[in-house]
Amino acid sequence: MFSQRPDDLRIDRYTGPYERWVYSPELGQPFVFPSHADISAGYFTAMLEGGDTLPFPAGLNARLPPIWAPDDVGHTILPFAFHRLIPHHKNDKLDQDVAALLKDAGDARFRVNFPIRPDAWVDGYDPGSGMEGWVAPATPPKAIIAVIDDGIPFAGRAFLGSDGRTRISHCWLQSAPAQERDAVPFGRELANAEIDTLRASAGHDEAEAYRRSGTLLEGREGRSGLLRRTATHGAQVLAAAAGNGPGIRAEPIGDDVQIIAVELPNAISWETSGFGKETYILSALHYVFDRARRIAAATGSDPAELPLFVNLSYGWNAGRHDGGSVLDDAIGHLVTERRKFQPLTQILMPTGNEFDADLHAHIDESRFSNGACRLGWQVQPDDMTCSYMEIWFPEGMDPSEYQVDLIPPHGQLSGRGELPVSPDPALPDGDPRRFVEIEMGGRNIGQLSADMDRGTRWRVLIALLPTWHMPGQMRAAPPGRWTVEVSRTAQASPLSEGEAIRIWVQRDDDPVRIGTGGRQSYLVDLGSRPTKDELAIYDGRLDLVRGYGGLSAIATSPGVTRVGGYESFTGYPCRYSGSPGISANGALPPAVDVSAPCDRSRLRPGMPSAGVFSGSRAMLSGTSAACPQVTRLFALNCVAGRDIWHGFENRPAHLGNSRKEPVSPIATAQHNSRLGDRIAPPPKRFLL
Amino acid sequence: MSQYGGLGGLGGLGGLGGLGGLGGLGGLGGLGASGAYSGAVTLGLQTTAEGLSHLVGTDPAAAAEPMDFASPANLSRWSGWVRGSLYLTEYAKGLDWSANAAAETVKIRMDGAAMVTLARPADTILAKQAAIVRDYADLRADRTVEITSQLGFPTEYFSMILGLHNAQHAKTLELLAATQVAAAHTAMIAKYALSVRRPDQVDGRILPMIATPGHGSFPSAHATEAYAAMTVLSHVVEGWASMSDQTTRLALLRGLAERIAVNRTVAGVHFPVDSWAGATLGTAVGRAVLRRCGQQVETPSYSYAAVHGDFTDHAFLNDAQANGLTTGPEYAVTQSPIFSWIWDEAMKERQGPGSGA
Repeated sequence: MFSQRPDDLRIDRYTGPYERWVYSPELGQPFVFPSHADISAGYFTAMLEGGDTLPFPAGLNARLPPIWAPDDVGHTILPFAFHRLIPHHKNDKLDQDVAALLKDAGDARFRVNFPIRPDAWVDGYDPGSGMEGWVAPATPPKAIIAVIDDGIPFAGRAFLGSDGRTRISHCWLQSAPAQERDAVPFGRELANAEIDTLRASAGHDEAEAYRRSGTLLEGREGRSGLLRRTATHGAQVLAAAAGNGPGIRAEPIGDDVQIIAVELPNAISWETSGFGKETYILSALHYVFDRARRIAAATGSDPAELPLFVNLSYGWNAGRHDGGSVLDDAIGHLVTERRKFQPLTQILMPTGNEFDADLHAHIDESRFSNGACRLGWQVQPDDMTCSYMEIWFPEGMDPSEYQVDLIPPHGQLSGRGELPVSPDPALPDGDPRRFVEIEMGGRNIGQLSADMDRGTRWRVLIALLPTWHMPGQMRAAPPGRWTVEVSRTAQASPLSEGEAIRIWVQRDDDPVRIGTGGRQSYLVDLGSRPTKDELAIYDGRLDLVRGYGGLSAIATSPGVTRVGGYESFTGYPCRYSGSPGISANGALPPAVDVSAPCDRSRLRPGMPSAGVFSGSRAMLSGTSAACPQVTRLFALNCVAGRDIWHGFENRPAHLGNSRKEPVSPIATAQHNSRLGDRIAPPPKRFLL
Repeated sequence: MSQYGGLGGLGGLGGLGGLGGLGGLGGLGGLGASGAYSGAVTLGLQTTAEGLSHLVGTDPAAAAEPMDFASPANLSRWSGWVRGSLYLTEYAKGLDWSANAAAETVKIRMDGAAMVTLARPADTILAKQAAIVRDYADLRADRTVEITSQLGFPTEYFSMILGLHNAQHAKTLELLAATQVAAAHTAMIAKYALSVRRPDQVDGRILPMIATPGHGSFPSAHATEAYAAMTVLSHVVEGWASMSDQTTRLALLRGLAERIAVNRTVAGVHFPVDSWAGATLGTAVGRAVLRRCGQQVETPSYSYAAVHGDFTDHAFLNDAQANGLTTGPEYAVTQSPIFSWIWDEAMKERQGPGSGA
């Protein structure tokens, strides 16, 4: 039961659906944050949209991270961090804090993102000190590779130049315990000389270097520990993108390429909604851009910006997918503006690994029968994290004659399971929106909401509690096959040709093994479907539930270079490699730009890379393995004075496949959308 | 299974579950068959004996020349497990201990002088340590194979670093086994006296991945054995002076000793302070063994009173005092001809010109 609050504190007056769900104690809050997250201390990341200054309400210590803003480049979307100076000692006031903050936003939109660990808050934040502890590399850089990831092994030998000094120019550990004074607002920054000093003082013991940097602390739940592992995602990606030595079967990176690394907090992988991560990611991008500019200035580069290749092997599923999200806009703006100074500016992201996971549905007019379309949502038992489904209506469409109904797998909802997709007149300010609580036996187990995202596109969000019973909590969602029905009145206008209602289920598993206990829910086509041909690469069909369109939701900005994955032995797209949508008329934007190998074959998953400690090796599978190979090739081509696409091939017209893959227009669109425009060469020691 | 064969010889020790670790005695190579043959062979031998007996007379046997009396020169003749018994008794004849109930300390003496004094860690420290043990559980997926293959003496891991093989280094492996057995026995004394609960008996959330051993937590016998082994093998390597990358080998030996100790925390059966105590005790035992071998190594005595914190070899080497480890007067250890023999034999296994190995 959602409480009524005083009018000036009503969280639903000011917020989007995720904020309301995540920060309301009677809704998702007890289940969303891992138990270690001390949210009551009041340190948060946040996003400002639609303004270029922070209106700092009284009692709020807000700060911008390093922002890339040369000359007169301005930003309408800014990441920031804040601390409520009067912390509540009970989490049940947090929603009121957030509401009070958002109330002061004026015309601008605020999004409160994931909290910051209190010990990571830098008291003496000095943004101007970014080059302290930095010394110019002996070889002036011709290009910069940046990697934003988890578990960054910054002390590794794979990143040393030929003079024995690290090529990692700057490294921001976003959740490391803070130093008294630092050039980053939270976490800790290490500049190259500081890394070399750490390496030297720890002897050859890299674990000791990580321990001294604060990245190997007690309390694995949320931080630490990762760098003790044989391999981390970030170690493998960083090595594939910019490392030299054991496990890395690629052309070495020379001394003329410097590295910037950002280690994201482990905690952001915890929350399964995706909403709370944008500030950390956008802060990381600004930081990379800012430090790259400082490196260029300090090494006498002309032009003022060096070629920059940013690898962000991260993603989530649900979102607009139309290039119009907050992050899409912010990334697109950064890339566009920087390319005015330096055309060789690339942000590379993988297409995701959910092609075969049944997380996306495409509802066009033909799916409606008697004014309704139903599909199943299989929610797994023993799922310890919230499950989320987003239903997006076409941009510009008024869906007020549409309704979404939710039917539980068994039993019945005690509250309303239906939601008109229209504004709630009781919520007059801000983006149009409406909320309905999902209740069983009088207890809240979820939230149904409709909101007009960024004032341009209607979205329905279904948030469900974990199916596992959290100790001390009576509330849990029943596992099983939920039914979602999208229906409309007879007055509603049908979807026009090319329009579709799109559904994405949010990522809800634990790929990097941080112990979330998440279990992935998925969509089920309730109609009869032909038996799947397991050997076919392209089925030539347009199913209701389909991988086409299940592209990672943060790889959709026009400024992003999207990297899919293929099997190096066969050249086939990897079964999981994320794909943009298709229609009967061909592939839909945004296209995959390039594919690179991420499995050797279906039976030999993964590509070789390096583990955490120098000399260790590990196999990395997934499109995360493909992306850094392209990043590396771009940088190698760049410093050699070649076009960055040198050595890449155009997508073949057909697979080299003894089977007869269909050559229908749909199958052709499937081929094109999955492999993308270009094919990266396999990662052997080939000479470009 | 010859790796474990030596145990039979140690008789009653077979019953000591944890001493399965004593399998290292199998390293005492050449475990020739003794005792019963198979029934068929026994019967065949008997019919053969009876078939041959008519070929020889019935005169009394002539007296034979005796072997050297109580001489190490005979050691190479004996089965490995026999030497195993001798090493154990030679080491243990100087081993003594006393417990101070008021101070809750155990003092382990060698040849009459204090070697190591360990204080029982406070319950409050163990409760804090449990959080570190839970933290390390993150590595279980990474380390499962190491942990389950290190339940006994992890001899193969030391062999990997030094390139040891039974055919070339039988006596070095025997010295290693003797050291590990000496360390295990010494650790059991301290475990018995100090009687410290295992991590899963302090915190129900530890949920260890292997069976909780049937002895106390503090000190860690794995740490004791690993540090004793590392101490002795490091001295062997220095004695050989035949490895051009000696510094590398010594660093790897230290790293391995640390890793073996930490793996037990990962598994959920040891606190980091157990590793501190074990590394301390193992270092002392290793030096005592070296002195029994006639090697002139320094033998400072140690006192350890646990301070809450993680265990790393780096801290053990560089930051001991802040972690509760202090150094005291030297203890003297008499030389043993038995240990001197095995040391000399191990030294012959050096690789190089004229080594013939």
